[in-house]
Amino acid sequence: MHPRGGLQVLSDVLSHLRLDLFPTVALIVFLLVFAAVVIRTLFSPASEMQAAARVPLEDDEPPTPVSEGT
Amino acid sequence: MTTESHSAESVETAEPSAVTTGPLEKFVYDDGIVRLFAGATVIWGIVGMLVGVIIALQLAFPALNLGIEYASFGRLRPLHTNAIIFAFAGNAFFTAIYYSTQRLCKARMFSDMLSKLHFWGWQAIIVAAALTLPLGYTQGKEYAELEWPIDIAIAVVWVGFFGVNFFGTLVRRRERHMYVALWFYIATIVTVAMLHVFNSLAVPAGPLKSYSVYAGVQDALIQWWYGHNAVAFFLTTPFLGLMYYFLPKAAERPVFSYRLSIIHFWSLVFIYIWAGPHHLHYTALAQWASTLGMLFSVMLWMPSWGGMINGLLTLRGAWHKVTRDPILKFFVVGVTFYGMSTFEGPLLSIKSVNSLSHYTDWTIAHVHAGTLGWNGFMTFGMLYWLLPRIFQTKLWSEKLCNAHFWIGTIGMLLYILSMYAAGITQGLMWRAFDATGSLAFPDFVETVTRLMPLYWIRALGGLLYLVGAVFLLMNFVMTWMSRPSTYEEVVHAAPALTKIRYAKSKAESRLHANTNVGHSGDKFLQGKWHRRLEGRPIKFMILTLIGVAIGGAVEAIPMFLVKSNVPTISTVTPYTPLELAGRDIYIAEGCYNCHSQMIRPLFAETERYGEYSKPGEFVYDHPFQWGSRRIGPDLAREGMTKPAPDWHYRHFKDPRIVNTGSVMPAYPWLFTKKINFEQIQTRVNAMAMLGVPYGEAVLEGNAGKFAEAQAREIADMIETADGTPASETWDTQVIALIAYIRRLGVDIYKTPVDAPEGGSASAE
Repeated sequence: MHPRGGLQVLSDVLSHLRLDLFPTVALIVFLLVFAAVVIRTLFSPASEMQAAARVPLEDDEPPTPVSEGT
Repeated sequence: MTTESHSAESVETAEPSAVTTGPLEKFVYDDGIVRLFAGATVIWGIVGMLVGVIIALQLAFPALNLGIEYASFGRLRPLHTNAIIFAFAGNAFFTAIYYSTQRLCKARMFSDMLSKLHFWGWQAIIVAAALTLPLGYTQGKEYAELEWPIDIAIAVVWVGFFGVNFFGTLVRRRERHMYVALWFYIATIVTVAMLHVFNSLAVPAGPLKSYSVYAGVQDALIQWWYGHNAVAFFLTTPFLGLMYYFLPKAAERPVFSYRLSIIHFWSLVFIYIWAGPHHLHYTALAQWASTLGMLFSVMLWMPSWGGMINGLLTLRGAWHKVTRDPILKFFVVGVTFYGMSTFEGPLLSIKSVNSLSHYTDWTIAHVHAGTLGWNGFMTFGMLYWLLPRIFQTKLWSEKLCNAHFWIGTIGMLLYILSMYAAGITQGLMWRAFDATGSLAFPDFVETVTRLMPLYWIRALGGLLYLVGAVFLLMNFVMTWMSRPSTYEEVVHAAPALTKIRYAKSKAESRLHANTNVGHSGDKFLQGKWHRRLEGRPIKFMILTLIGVAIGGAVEAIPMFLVKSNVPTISTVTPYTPLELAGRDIYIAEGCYNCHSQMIRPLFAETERYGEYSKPGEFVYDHPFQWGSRRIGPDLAREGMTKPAPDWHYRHFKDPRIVNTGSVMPAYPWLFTKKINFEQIQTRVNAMAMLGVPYGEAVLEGNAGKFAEAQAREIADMIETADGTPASETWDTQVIALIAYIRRLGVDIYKTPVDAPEGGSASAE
């Protein structure tokens, strides 16, 4: 029995599971989701993208004041 | 809770979008909170930079702390990093978020009260940090030094005040599309909350003392998962949000490619969180985790450069403005440094490069290219753009603004180039061998004295950068002084958003004579699913959280639960009560800021320091103290290489007595301050709660008693060696620290209790 007790017993059990597959499976899922986002983004209508890009320019700011240049 | 004004003096109507058909609503933006955060950014920035210049000078001139414990390098360096990261950069992106979110959402912040609680709560946390860190209250984990009560306050302010206020604003917005800057803010808020909570889990051992629940390898993994992503989600994503809002505003043209900005966002969310283990190459961390971190770091290069190119190309057709507009100059240099840092980061994460660069000043050059260039210059550009707007007057001096740009740029270059030279010099000297196969520079101090001219240049560069920030302060104050007696509150109007019944508006395939797969594909490409996501901030937040959480979990869970990742060593036992007290002093003095405790399995390191470090050696290290830098030598086997207590006694009194070229400060206060023997029991009991097998030491009174006995033993050894009376030294703090140092790295050489005579410890 390891002095760390319960956690070590749990780790004995989990050591026999194929947990090393975790990163691989997660990586594949991530890549698939990412690919979906990229494809969707690339095929988005240009008008929609242009409208979204203009959002910060349409917030009614007054014109930029000119410095006095002291 | 929202303060929505209906007393319209001047109404500027926003263009209603095609899908918003609700009633027209009037509102006023809260720029008061933006002014507060902007002011705090400048003030804390100067404080943080000033402390940086002071500690840079201390490295070149060690006596500059004047023998004052509160001014020593180990205590001030965390103050510098915390002030720059959380006070300067934090307040800077709060300024950006409070200004841009309201405008991008066409809504006032959700709650003025929460805005104020956020501002004052955050400043109180900074003040608490500025008081506790010089006093030596620290958890000993880089960029996560603040003790547990402050950690709780951070969680409350970040999630309870800032998070609720921000998401409340998103929910009440009047602009259907959530602009990409808001996505970066969402990722920032959810990820920083997650990182902070998991990395700060600790067992309190007093009002301002705690022990990390993780130990050794696992603590290192969690800490650098946090540390790396603090860079990602505190210093990168919010500043990218800032870039995507303020750069188009300053250039007066939309971002070059909105598509690229979307891909930029999702790439960072998916990839960044995996990259943390690259901070632990060749350490006792399992190889697979380290390799995974490296691969994802290299993958980060491309989206990061996509973002940089997107930023720079936003200036297409406007480059002529850059020559005369200092704001655009700041932004161009800022974005360029983003590109440089995000190229260099993946480069440094490659193991072979990292073997040279790690622990050297190359890392310091890298992080300062990011902070001075990217964070600093983006902040300065934003502030100069904001000053006339939030103070409703003209900028006091554009010339001073220009002067700030040039002096800041020169200072930054001096700083970074000198540290590149210093880092590469260090790395090459550490691994150099002569013709006989021996280390060419066996005395570590040779590699320190060689850097002195570069340390002076670095201090000069930092000073120039600070002078630039003072120019900003002057411009800020003078612009503020010429503000109108009362600020005009422009009343805006925009139609309220109506709910869209997504179920009734499913995409229809635009194709004819196709298969079901074709129709499904066409529906997918129409992107309603993504627009639906963009329209629902809470779901967006949850999915982002899941995205970043998985990246951390797949590394952390196997590391915690698979036994083979941390093989135990039978002779490794817990620190004695006195050694534990000494370890607490080591942490309080911030020794980890200059010394590593991790010998990598590289020939030059094992030749210099001894047997390489094993994961099982650190199972009782709450927190781990591997460090990230070697201003001084590694200490992982110090107990083997320098067991004599009298050497350490003289060394702590004045390092230059035993080593003339040393830049280590003297620690005179450790020779007068007494060990708190009664307190040791509480510390031992807290460690026992974490599963450290302390046996009889947990019985009331035993820990102090054991510690006293060991302290007298060490004091007697010093008396025997150099005649210093044990009666004068045995209960001083330096004795506890020496006890800890003498214990470092010795356990694996002990003979196991049940081993045959002559046997040695082995990993199980």
